[in-house]
Amino acid sequence: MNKLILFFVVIFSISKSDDLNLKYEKYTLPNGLQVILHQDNSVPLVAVNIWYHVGSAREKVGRTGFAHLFEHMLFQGSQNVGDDEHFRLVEDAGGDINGSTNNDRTNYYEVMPSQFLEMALWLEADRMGFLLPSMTQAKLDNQRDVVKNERRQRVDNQPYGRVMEKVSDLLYEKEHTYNWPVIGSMADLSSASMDDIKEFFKLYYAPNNASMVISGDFNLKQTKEWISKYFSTIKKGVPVSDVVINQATLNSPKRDMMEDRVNLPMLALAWHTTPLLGKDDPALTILSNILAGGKNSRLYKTLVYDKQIAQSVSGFEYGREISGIFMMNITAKPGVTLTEIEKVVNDEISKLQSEKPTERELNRSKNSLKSGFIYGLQSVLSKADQLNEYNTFWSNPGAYKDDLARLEKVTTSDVQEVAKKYLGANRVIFSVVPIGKKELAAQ
Amino acid sequence: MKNILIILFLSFNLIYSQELDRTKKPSPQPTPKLSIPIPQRGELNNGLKIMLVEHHEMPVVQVQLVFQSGSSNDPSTKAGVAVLTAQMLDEGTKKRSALQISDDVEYLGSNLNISSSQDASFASLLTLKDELENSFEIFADVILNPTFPSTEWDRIKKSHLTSLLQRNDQPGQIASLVYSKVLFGDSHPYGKPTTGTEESVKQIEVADLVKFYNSFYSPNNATVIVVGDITLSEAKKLLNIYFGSWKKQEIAEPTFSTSPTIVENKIYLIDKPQAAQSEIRVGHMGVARSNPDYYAITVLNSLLGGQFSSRINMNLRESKGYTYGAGSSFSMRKEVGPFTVSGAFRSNVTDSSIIEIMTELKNVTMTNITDKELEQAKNSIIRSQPVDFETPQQIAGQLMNLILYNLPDDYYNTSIQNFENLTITDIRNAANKYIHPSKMNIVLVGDMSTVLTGLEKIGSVSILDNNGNKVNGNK
Repeated sequence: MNKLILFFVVIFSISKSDDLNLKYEKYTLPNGLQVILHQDNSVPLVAVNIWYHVGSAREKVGRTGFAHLFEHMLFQGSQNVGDDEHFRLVEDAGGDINGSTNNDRTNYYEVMPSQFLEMALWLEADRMGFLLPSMTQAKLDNQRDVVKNERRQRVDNQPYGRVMEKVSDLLYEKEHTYNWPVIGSMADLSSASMDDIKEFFKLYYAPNNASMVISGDFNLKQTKEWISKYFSTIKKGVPVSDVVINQATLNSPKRDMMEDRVNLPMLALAWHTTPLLGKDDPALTILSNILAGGKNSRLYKTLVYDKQIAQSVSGFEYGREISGIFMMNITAKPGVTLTEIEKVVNDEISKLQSEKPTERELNRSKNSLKSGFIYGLQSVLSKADQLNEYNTFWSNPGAYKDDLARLEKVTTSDVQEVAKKYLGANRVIFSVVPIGKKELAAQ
Repeated sequence: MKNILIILFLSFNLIYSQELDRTKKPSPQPTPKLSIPIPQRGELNNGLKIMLVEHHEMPVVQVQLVFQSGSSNDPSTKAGVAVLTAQMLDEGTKKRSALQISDDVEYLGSNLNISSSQDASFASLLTLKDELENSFEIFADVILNPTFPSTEWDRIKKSHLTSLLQRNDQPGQIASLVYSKVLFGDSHPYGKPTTGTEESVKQIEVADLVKFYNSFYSPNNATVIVVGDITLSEAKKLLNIYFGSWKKQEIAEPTFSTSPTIVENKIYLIDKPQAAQSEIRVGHMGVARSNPDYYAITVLNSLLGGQFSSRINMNLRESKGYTYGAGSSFSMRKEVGPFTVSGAFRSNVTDSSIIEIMTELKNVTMTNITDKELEQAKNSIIRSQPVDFETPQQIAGQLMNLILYNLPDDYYNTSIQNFENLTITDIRNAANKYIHPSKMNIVLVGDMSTVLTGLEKIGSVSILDNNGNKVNGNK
């Protein structure tokens, strides 16, 4: 429960975007809550999906981890919902429930049998408008413990679990809001006062900082009445300032390493690229697929298939709202030095910088991205998440069409150009090696 | 238009601000009728059975070919054969090289996966309707014409051995594997990892895979499930073209030896120095899917540890703060599978966590299950049915259960009544019959220097290695 999404790789694509038309209606309540309704009566299910435009990037140095902590606190009851009741009521209704936090946003959702839609709206409204009266020190302390356990499970006790936070720390200056991990500093969580936490909630969890999608089997008129009934009397909050785009850069290569309780060395490489809405984002997504997408991708074929000096490769363009990165992870075979891996990776990057990829590679990437987008729209929940994603970051739930169109326009020259423009020498080169095997690190 | 909308909302606002009492939980609307689709049936002359559900919401088709044989049919010293056979199917056919298969599949935007569990092997294809026939041709090619090229096998074998090495980095995986080994014993198929061990995989040669393939990948051992934007006649036509000439053959049944009897609670510890948490598995033999008490056991597990709001999670996560999450499961298979409580717990409360788990197990057999708990567990199971039948993949997964466990085609339309009929007595009887709090295996992977003293106060502790073998110098 309460997923922490560290790698939220955003892939949108479809070549015939005309084929795909998600019909929706959008309106805004006087208190600023954006509402998006998408009907799909094929199964008696309905998803209620709320995105608050707050992630760890809204936090301040010394006060990190709050957005994720709220992802826990919002399941602990509110003024009219008992402490353990939120989960219990949804499970009793046969629903699914969860939330997730990343750098840019937090989402909360229920997928309910459709007869329970009104109850889901009541639950969401209660925690949006009336969370603080029920928040106690005891509940806060308990969830701080749970979050610390979450960190132990997902970071400390995971092989390579600290890579993302180490790489982020090397990529971003201390003041940049992408410097710290989404789960935050455990010391910050311990020292946070109730007042700090309440202030954060008042500002960022107000209706004017939220977008709610209802997707699935519902009666349009009835649902609008319920939305008005439960949400319209929630008070509008203080205006939340716009996110400030702050694309970071590196002025020199940054090389570091750590020892971990692992059997295989792993090399992480990362470059600064462009924010999500930057024009080069789609070409970078295709570049990542051509480099590390499948068996025929350049790095997989060379490192894993031909030379067999690596066990696995992965790569992605992580187009976040404020500042994007391109990242690759290569796990080496036992005893192989990451210096050798790095050299092969550099050769493959150089090839793509000096010569365009083939049309086959380009189209294979586009086709698999396109079908992946369609496969990702088969549930009422995934449709709700997509509409909310585009509404939150593109200010338009239907902007998936623009996103697909811009991806469709990418040419082999564009891929070569972004490889030249972004995958330069100023990068993070981070090695994870088995304890006592420092000599395996990339030199 | 926009202004009109705003006025409308203001007026709702006025009405409801006077009437709205937020303390009142809204009641549900009448329950809509969910008709669970009953699959259409067909069969080819060679014995390949077809199950199909039409689902036209999206231009997508899911194909799932299920073979009734998995790693339970591995030769006794060669655990891993079924899984590696599945891995090798798309590494080369009479028509295509390994790279061509992957290139063709990705170019079509399709997903192809072949895998194996204890009880069965699976080949699945997810494709856009437009590319159905092209994708299906490749799908049939890898199922019918694999060549098991020796160069690819060398690579796959080395890669698989490396992945077994990586498994040792994952305390949760080690805990689960050692738990199965201790519970079922060395010779029972469920006691061995489906992926094999370093020792067993080293002994596997390509001839073993070819033999497994020839023995079990045949039409009379298979059912093909098709769900999506397709009709039965379209599917039959494709299947006849591509699978019609596939030859049937005799199929061997796996043999299951008996497992060790547990006479008292025993603790098995695998040392993971400096681990932040202990990965714990507690339990004993459970039941097979064919058990007549299936419904009562499912409800019992739901209230004990099957959900977030279940007793185990509410106690160990929400009340004690020992864990990020804990739960229980009866893993019901063709043969008797394990009952297991599992979770990862802060190292310095490892012993307390085990004590709390044991308390919950005792309580569920000895103290009262309330009406409210029973209602909630039944409700969540019954009402969540539509959630399990939303997408073609989910529907195919549900149909697969019918095939693997020999359930009638209208099973999902009759099971609800069986859940509704359950009483507290049924659940209590199931608890007493299937949960034995004083005959548990307790397997944990954690930092020995932190946890050992506490564990020894609970019971005798055997120290094992990552493979579940006794560490020298220990009992």
